[in-house]
Amino acid sequence: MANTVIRFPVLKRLRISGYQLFPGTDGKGIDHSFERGVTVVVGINGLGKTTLLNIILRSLLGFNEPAKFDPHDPAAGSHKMVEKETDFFTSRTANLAKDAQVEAEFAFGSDRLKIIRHLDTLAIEGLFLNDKPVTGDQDELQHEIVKASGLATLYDFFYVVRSFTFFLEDKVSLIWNPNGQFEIFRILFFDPTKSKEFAELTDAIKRKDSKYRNLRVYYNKAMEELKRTEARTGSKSTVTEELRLKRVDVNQLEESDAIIRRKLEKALLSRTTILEQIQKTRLELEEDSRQQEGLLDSFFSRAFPDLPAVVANILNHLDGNHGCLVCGTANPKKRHKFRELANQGTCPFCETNNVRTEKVGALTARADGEIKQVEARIDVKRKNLSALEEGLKKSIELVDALHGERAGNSFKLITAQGELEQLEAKLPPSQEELDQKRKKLDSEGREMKNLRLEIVKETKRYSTLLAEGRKNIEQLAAKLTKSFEFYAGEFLAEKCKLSYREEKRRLGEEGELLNYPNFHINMTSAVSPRIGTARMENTQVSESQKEFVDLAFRMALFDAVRQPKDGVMLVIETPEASLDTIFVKKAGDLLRKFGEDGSGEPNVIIASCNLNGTGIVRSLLGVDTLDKKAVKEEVPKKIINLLELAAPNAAVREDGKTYLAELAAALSK
Amino acid sequence: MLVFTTRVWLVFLVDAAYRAGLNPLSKRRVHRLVFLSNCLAPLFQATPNTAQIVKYKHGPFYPLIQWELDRLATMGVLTIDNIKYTHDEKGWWVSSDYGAGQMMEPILSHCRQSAYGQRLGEYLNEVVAGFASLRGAALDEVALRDENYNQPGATADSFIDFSEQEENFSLQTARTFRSVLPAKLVPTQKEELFLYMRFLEALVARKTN
Repeated sequence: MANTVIRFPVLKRLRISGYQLFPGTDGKGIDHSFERGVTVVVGINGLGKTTLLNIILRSLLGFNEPAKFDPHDPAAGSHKMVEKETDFFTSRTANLAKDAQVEAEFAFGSDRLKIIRHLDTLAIEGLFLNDKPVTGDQDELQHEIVKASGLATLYDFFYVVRSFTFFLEDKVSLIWNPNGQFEIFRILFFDPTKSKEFAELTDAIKRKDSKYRNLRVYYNKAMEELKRTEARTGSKSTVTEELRLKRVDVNQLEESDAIIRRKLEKALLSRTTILEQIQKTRLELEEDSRQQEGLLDSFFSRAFPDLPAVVANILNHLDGNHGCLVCGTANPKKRHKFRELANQGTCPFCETNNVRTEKVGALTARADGEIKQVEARIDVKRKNLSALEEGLKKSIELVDALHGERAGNSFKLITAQGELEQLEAKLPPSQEELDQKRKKLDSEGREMKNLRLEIVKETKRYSTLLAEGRKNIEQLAAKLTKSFEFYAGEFLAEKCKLSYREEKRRLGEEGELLNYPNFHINMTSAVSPRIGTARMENTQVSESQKEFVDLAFRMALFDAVRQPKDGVMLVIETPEASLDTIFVKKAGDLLRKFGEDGSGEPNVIIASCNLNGTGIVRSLLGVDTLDKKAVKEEVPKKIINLLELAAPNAAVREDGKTYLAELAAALSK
Repeated sequence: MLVFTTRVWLVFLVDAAYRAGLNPLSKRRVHRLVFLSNCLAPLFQATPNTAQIVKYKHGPFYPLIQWELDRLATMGVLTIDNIKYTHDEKGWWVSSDYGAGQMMEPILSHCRQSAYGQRLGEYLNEVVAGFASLRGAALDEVALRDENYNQPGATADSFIDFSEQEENFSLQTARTFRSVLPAKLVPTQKEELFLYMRFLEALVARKTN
């Protein structure tokens, strides 16, 4: 039998302060001491029942979680623990739970452990063992909590607390899930040092099994590849000729590409050069034009001093033959006409005679000569510009054509290169290539073989440890089944028994079949009222049976493991959820009986309940079994009333009185 | 098509300048604004009106843009005033001022009805807003200190082509600011544009001092 002494945590006192969700009646938060038996957390949806249970859970565990944990397949991941930072308690507050704190006092057997944590970071702020402070870093302090339980590892502590002590909505089934059941057996019934080795072996074998299967996929692929390569041997003559011709094609296309590329580079350079010349010519033309306009303007502005700027601009442009600003024509027909008319004293627009005053003389011969010189330069530059623009047009066309030609050639080149690669793949392999592939395959084969040997060796050790553990469990089987039958009988109308057997399962996907200890239930029914039938799946029982069979199994396990004077704790979330009226009373009786049992340290059952008229609160607190005085004096000590302690949500603000009246009715004699 | 794009570009620029209190715009300033807006257009995923320019003794100047400016003034979309021909050691030059004409508003309304017009208008508004936020003394100098215009190796009449983004040094510099800012401070396009304008202003100040 295992020599482990496991002490389960039992909550004695819970204080939550500075947390906006639970301001308490006087703003001091929640402070509750837990009595023997059932304590009910009363509330309605959204008031924080689940949060309160989570605070109790996280006061023990902090952020620690297995790297992968699925309550529906609890032993599927590895036993590696990580810190998972989540916003457990910050998201429901406006101040991110700043200054919020939980102080939880637990009994672990005869020891008392007080844990103080921040609710925002879940860091341990203080730890006291039998009122003496414990010091150390966070890991050391968390280790002290695990140590108080007598469990071997943080993972085992997590599993016992999360999957066994706590029966939350997202619960781990220990009766319907063989792997989950075996995991708790390993933790509770194996020798503690061997239990740790067993967990490590489990992870190692699973990891190696997975690696082996991956390696095999690669090995098989490499084997296929080698076969294909070997098959190419002897396919020489025609492929070689085709290859030679294709290489010629590729070379020619590569040469063409290089030629087109060079042409394109040249054309692009030429285009840029022309563009530059055009721009420079335009600037020169601009200067000459302005000079011409400036000379003309000095004449026109004397001839017609009151011309608006826009008209003067039009006139200068027209007479300088720089385009018509009115219609946009680049080369208007009436070149020089305006100057000639103005020179004769005639209005250049309406052609009225003698409009020029006597004081303003005609355009001097010198000025006229200067203007004509500039005009001659302008004409040359215009012709140059025209030629350049024509050249640019052709250059652009050439660049476009070369781009097209290169795209077509590139397509042919890529196609030919692809065909070349295909032909090369058909070539018979060189001896070096074959040797390399065979060597790689040999190396992978050896690695697989070694891995397989390691798996076999480790599985052998695993099997030995499993046999030892199985023996421990078999010794307890009678006690466990008897205890289960008692608790199940309290709740179920049908006769429900626990049966022990060895169940064959594989470790990893391809490990050998091993015999695992397993308990399943056998239950009578309407069609089999005396003998009963095995119920291997949770779909084979009703919802309420499913939940309470699992609870009865937990209670039986507690009885089998705990020390005679030790108390235990069960935390159950909304036990009424799946119950009909008759079973509400039975459930209350069962949990109360379990809670109040024992002469040593008290058991504590914490159940969160909704005020939904099911009578579960009354049943759990055993109001009908107590006299008036006890109801008045004792029952309030066993209630955490979130209707008063939690920050009121909209439902409480609107219908708080109705809920309080319902609670009062549930407690009335 | 390019003619119309150029005209729309100019109308938006003159309008933005009018709104930013830079009315009237000297011919020199119009050309410099066109140049800066061409350089930084890719910052706002806009296509430059033209991405080539020849360095010129009077600073950035586009003959084709000048023609369109005069055409728009004749059409009444812009106003033109203070035409002045000068002749000095740099040769002949004509200066003039442009402003918002009577026909501008209906044209702008029409342009803003298209997604392209809206985006272009928003971009040019940002360019002019960044430009107008600079010290008055720096306004006509910043284009001359621009990273494209003043690129290493460029001589007095160099041809500058920034049509490829990797050769657009103004754009590259504007995008560099994010690498010198604190890690979490990612500048918007507008902030990059404003930072670049400030950078040019600082270059002008350094040269002056």
